[in-house]
Amino acid sequence: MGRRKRDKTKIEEGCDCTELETLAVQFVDGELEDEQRQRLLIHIQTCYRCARLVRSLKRTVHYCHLETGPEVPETAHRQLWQRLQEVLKSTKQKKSR
Amino acid sequence: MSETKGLQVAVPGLPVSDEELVRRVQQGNMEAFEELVRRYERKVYNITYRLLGNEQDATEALQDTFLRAYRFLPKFQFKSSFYTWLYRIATNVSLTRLRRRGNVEVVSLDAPVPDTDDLKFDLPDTAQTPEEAFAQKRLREKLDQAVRELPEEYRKVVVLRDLQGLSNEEVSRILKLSVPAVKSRLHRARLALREKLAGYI
Repeated sequence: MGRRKRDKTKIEEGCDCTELETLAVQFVDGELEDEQRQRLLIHIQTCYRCARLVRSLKRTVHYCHLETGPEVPETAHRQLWQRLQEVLKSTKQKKSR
Repeated sequence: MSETKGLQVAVPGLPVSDEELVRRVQQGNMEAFEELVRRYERKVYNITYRLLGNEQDATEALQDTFLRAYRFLPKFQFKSSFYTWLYRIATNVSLTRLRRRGNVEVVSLDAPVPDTDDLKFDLPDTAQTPEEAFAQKRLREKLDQAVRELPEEYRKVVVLRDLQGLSNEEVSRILKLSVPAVKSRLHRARLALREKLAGYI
């Protein structure tokens, strides 16, 4: 397996941020085993960059989960129901023949 | 919008399940289909809008999704939940439209992004001041844009998993991917979104 290219700007002394990124995503999903979770929590006590990564990732995913998305615009709603009524009416007519 | 008259509840006080409504549609009850549309109209619109990125295309894809669902519902075999099946149609309809459009804006995940630690906006609050509402609107626009700029393979995963709230297993069934593949794409998508939203969240 080839070596993954590291982004030097993301590497803190003593921290392999490539691995940390994977752990951070799993941490946000609550999928880390206790040992890995502890390792991550201890690490972010002293690593500013990784703490920031975990925090912003958590907030991003949390925001996505909270985001309800746009309402269906009135025009879209009206057009949908108009087409549906046409199709349903045509089905009814076919059945009654 | 039509009335729901004629829809009897299976258990008094409880709404009729999707599966029961599907059975009724299969027996020729068209009001049951209208009820399914009412239940999923917004969720389907959210998928088509997020995947296509504009109201016009999303509106047409919304119609195509439900018309296709109506056409194929007689063949629905209850091997998955109704909504998983419906979301798969919505996703496929949107992606077909997206490819036909051919002008997909894709931004490399390796592209440099501004790196800022400012927390200019907070998470949504139910009691918002006008300033907060404006910030919220900006954030939503920023999220829409960020999602739109994701490569298609990441966009569809993040739309279904994080914005529609489906499980990894449901997303894997809809996109016909393995669960590890879903997780891997979600992982990349989240890191990209996080970078794109830096400074706003």
